[in-house]
Amino acid sequence: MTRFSWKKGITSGSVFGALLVLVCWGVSGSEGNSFQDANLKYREGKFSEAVELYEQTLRLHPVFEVFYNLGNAYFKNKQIGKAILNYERALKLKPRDRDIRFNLNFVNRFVEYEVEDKRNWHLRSLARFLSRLTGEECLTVSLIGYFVLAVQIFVGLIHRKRFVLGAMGFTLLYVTLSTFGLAVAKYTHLGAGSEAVIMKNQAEVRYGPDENDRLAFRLPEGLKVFVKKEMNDWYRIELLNGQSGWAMKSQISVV
Amino acid sequence: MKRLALFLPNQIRIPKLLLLAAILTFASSDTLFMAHAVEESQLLARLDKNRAEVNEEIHLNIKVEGVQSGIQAPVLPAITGFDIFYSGRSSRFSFVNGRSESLTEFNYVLIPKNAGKYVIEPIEVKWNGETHRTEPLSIEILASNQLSNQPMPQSAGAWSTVPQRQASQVPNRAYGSSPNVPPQTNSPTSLPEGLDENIFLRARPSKLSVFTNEQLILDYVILTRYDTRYEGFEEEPQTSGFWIEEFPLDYQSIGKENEVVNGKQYVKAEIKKIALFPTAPGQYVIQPGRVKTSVQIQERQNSIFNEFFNDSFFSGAGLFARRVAKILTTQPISVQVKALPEVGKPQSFKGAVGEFRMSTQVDKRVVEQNEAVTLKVVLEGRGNIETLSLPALPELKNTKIYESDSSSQMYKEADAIAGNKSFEVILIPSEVGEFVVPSVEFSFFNPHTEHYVILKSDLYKIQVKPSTHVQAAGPEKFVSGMPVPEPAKKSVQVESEDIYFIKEQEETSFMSSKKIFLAMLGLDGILSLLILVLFGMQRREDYFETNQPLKRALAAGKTMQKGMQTLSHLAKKTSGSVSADEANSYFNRCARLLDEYLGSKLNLSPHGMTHSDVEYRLRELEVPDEIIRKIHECYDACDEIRFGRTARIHEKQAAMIEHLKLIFKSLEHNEQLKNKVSKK
Repeated sequence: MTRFSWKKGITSGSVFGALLVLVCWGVSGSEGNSFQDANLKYREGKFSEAVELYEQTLRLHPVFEVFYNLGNAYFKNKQIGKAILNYERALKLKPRDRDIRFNLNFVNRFVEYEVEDKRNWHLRSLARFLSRLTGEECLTVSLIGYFVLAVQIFVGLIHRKRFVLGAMGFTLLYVTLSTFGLAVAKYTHLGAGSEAVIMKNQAEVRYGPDENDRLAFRLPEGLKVFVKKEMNDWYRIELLNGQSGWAMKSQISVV
Repeated sequence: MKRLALFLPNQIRIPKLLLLAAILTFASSDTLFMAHAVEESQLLARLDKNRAEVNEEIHLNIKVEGVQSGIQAPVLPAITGFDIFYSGRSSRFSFVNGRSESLTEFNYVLIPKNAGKYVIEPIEVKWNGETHRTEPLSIEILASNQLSNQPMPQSAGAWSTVPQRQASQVPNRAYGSSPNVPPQTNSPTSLPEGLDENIFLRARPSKLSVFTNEQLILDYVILTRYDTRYEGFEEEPQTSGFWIEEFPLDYQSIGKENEVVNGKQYVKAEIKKIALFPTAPGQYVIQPGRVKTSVQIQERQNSIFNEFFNDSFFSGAGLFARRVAKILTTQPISVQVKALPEVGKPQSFKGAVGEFRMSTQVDKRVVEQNEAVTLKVVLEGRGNIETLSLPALPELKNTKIYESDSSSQMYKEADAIAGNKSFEVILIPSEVGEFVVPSVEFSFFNPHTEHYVILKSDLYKIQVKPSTHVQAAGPEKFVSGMPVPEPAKKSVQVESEDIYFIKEQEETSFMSSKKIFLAMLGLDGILSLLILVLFGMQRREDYFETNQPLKRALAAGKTMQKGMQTLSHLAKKTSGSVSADEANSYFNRCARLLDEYLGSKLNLSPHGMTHSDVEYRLRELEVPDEIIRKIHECYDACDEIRFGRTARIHEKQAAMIEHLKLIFKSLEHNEQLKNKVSKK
């Protein structure tokens, strides 16, 4: 058995590290190139080609700019459903971006139907508030609150002082718990299920997860729905007005 | 559809009757105590003539004097050979010097149909529960044109409630003093054949030839001999090519005038009057439209109900009255519109036609720099007021000009549309000194004189003082605090809508939300771990504070291990020759280490501890004899070296370390010892 040589280890490690850096740099460089190539195609009005390049970029680098641009390219290509899906995905990453909101609202005007939000007013208000935040942001605030609280506890332990939850402690605890609750509400969409978009015009929604079940209603392309559960090739979806049914997965894309 | 029951004389008198009723109510109490002053009641019936031709109008008047209330409608006897029209009721009441006088009249128009001598039987009128009768009346009806050959006798009645006018006295409907007096083409001097000669419509324009934008009045009149109700226009007049202004009509006076046409007297009702302003030269035809009316034909019904319902209060709408709808129309009207002359047309002319006056005024004579001055321009006169525009203002240096407001008002002035229109202009001088508001020029075409007229306003001199406001720097010397007029502001108009453009670059930020999140997650994790460790250590320390034997026992193992390592190291160090002192020191150290270990492990004081104490405790703990023997051997070996037996020192050192290891291992794994220590 040969003895471990520090020299050899350091050398081989350096080579591996250098290779890793090169690969990462190459990958990031190719992402940047395809993004710019896609932008160029968009500017030239070649929207189908731009869509392909944006889709390629997304596989390696899913950032909101690419989703937003892809939404634009789909809209220019007259694919309303996919445009809305990508705007929704962009909005999930950057919920306070005005351009995304404007374009999403604009494209939504092309959706034939409108579903009235029949939830309670407080749920509607909370949903409107949460739509301006990401789950990560809620969790970050919660973690900051926890951090400050933990520092207080740690300092108290070092000084061997009995820990007392004062006004500040209560405030921090409240901030921590409430923002954590908001994050939970955000990730669960207030219990509505996962957000999804109808991809096919006149998508059929049935009373059960089977082709033989009776047709309940049809939905237009681009309409936002919530997926409550799934079974084989079917999603159980629900609309904001309370109507629900089963639709084939091929007709729906989850945001 | 406009429905205006407008014109019957009896309807117009209703408010007077109500007033009379009120007066009577107040007066009734007095009259009770002044019976001597009340006049005697009297009933009279008279015809305005005792001889007439067929189809000639005869007025029958029934007069009740000295009765203040409770008069029922007269009951006429059957009068064959006549059409009878009820034409209204009138009442008068006066109380002068303690004497009251009252008079109530009922009027009828009789149209004879056949020649002959007729006697009208007594007419019955009821008041205060009593029936009163008139004297019989006689009349002779001649065939048409017979009467004109005979001398006209004086009217049988000395009075008549219907004002009589000759045809020549009918006011000329031609507008003002215009030289363009229209030919009376639509005046029914001869009635169209097939039409009911007792009712017809007359639409008469004030002129048939006008200039562009000159006022033309179109007057609609119904002439009737029936009890008539006007029910509005079934078809509105067609006046394409004209700007229209409707005349406000005084409906209170409608139907009060009478007019004689072709020797027959008609009640005249002006139902519509419009001012037309042609917008372009050419030949135009105005379709007069169709007017809906209903007329009531009086039919004799001698019943008790008719006595009541035939009263004028009900506008002749008795239960047995027959009302017939009549649609009236007249001939289309052709109007020629002339172009305005180009000769002498002033530069300031903007299309105003008529007769106008202009007045101007300013609200301030002394202002501060950049303070607003309001110039008010008022145009007044006859013509198309609504289309008048603000006269052009000359450009003024160092002055901002804003058109602020305009308002117009229209009124009737001698059968023509007139009015005024005022404009407000805000002037903001920015230079200190004398600011001159220049003369404003307005021109119009007078269709009567067929000449253009130019009007000029006065000059105004305004004193501009330096501003007390601080000036703000700006590209256009905009001054803060300056009143900015509303029209200066405009909202941005959205021309079209589309999506916003793509994002050209990715956002690069050192501290993205994801990084912050991960950093906080890591920090919180480490901090939580630290808190747990610190907390655990403190709890352990606290526990050891209350359990010293356990603490000594746990510490003994560590001390022993450390000591054995030191001894091994020393043994290696002294591998060559070993002096007596070195050996002594080494084995002394071994004895101390063993004492410390056993003292701590067995919770004995190392100072007063004897070998027998140790053995006793070890036996209590059921430590094997071999280990006890080894402990004794260790102590013996140490004693030997202390007393100078230093032979085979290296072997003894190695054996000592081995023995110590064995003792340590045995005692550390002794379950009873562990339990005992933990119990303590």
